[in-house]
Amino acid sequence: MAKRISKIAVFTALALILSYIEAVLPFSIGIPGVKLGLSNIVTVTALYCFGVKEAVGITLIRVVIIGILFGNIPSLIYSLSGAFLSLITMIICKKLKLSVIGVSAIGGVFHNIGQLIAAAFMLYSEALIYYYPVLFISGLVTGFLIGLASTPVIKNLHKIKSGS
Amino acid sequence: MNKRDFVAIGAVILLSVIGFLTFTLNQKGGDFVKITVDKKTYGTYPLSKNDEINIKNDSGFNTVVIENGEVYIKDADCRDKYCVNQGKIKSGSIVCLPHKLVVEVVSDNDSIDAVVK
Amino acid sequence: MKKIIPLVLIIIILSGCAAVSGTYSDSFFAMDTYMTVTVNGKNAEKAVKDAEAEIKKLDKKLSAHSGSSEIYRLNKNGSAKLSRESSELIKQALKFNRLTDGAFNPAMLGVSELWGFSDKKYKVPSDKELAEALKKVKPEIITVKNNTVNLNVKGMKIDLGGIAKGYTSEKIVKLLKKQGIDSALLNLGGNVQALGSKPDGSGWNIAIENPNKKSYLGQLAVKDKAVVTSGGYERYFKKNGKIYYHILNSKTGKPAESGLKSVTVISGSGTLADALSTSLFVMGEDKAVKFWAKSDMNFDIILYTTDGDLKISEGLADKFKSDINYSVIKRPDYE
Repeated sequence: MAKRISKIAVFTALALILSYIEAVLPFSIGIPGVKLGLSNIVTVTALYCFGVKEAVGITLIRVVIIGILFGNIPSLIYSLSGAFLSLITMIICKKLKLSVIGVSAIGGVFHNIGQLIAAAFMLYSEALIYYYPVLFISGLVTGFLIGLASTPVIKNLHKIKSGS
Repeated sequence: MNKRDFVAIGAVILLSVIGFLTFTLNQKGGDFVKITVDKKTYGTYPLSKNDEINIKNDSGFNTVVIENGEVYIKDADCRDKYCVNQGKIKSGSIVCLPHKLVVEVVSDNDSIDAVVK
Repeated sequence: MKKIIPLVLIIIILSGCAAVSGTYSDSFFAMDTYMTVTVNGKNAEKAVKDAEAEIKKLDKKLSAHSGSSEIYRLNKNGSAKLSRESSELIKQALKFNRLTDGAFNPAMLGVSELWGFSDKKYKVPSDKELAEALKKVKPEIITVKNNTVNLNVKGMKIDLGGIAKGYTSEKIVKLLKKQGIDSALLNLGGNVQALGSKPDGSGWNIAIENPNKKSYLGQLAVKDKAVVTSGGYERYFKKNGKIYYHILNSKTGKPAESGLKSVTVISGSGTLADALSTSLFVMGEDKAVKFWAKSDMNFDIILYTTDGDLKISEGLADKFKSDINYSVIKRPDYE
């Protein structure tokens, strides 16, 4: 039990650090709303190495804390809906036996879809839909990159696990 | 990456394109009619959907009609009928001072802060 | 885990309190129209409330129609000691009357009443009635001394409606500046004045209504400018198939039919923009363009003619956007 909590804590801390890095050093490519989402490495890794419950817990804590530290209530809602839609689709994709990269890429797309839905509800604006193609492609690309980065992490963590 | 990945990603892309196209092709202008009575929002209605809204308050009544992408005040029991005489609008606003009623066309695909008239 | 929840709650509450700075906007009815005041910055709500109170205070003083106003009292008695604001505004109105060679005329209330534009009981007066009423329109002999205004003609009535909203917006901008506000937008029933820029640094987007009310003539982004449009189309009546607009020509006493549908004036001064938009509308295109070209006052104009031509002065060339074709008026062409 204590081991599990400490693992979650370490992962959450890692996710917070990655979010912080991204907040301080934004990998901006000039399109608003598009970011790399480094902390998703942690979410993906947690999903593979621990399980669904842990991934949900880590994501929730990470999003709420980052929202409080760097954002405001609207940005917290965007992040929550993005993170959880992404997580749900990733869980489904994992069950469908996709690879880490595939799971992450589709997760990236749905992360952006979730944010877009939240924004559409909060701004009552249908015009946001025209933004969708950009967010779709960027979600796919960043998700792919995150999956690429997560694959060796997951492999090595499994090695450590089986080794110990 | 395996075959399943490509199939899944392909399916997501396909669904997205279909969803996006159906949505944008069915979109008929993002304009809304916002009705305010004595500073309180009474309701918001799409300008693209014909509608008739009867508004009654302590000071009297106004009948707002949305028709073919235009909005006008069809009838009112105010003294000067100025609101009725303002005719049909597609942009800007109609104000009925005696009833403290404002009918505003709100467009969400531009970013206009104020309209001079 | 249980200890985290109150901690999280405290952080949320604290971060909520820190957000006193923001945007506040309120709408209200004053000066016979619907107004919206938007303020960005610290204590925005208080600033908007103060602005509303000040506007309502000015409305009470300046309205020609309310029985308790200073202007009403002046019109009734022919002379009166007024507040500093009222006499100051009368001085300004008389100045614009001189500058525009009578095109702006604050003494037309008597004539306007004949047409029923004040009480909305519209009728077409006879030429004889108009000539009688015009005899009493002599703004040039009004005297203002130490806030005491003397109309000097029995029966002359002044109406500051053509300048009061512009003066008010200019005054409110000064009031907001004094409170340390550097970003605000005043929309006094279609008379707009911007203080500074939007919080993101861009200008305020102001659309100009097309008299047909189906679209906009165009839009422009402004910072620290007043934008005022005059056009008969906002108030008129129909009789025997003819349309009578409410802006009167002080020479004929009849609605100004100058070939213009609307005139927009953009200037740092709300008072100037308001007074000149009416004046240029009465002058007509040729005179209006010459007036603009020769004036040493700093302002820009947008003219929309009854033929559907849209013309903007050169200072707006890089700020104005429109779906309609328009031409740019250049100053050297008229020197």
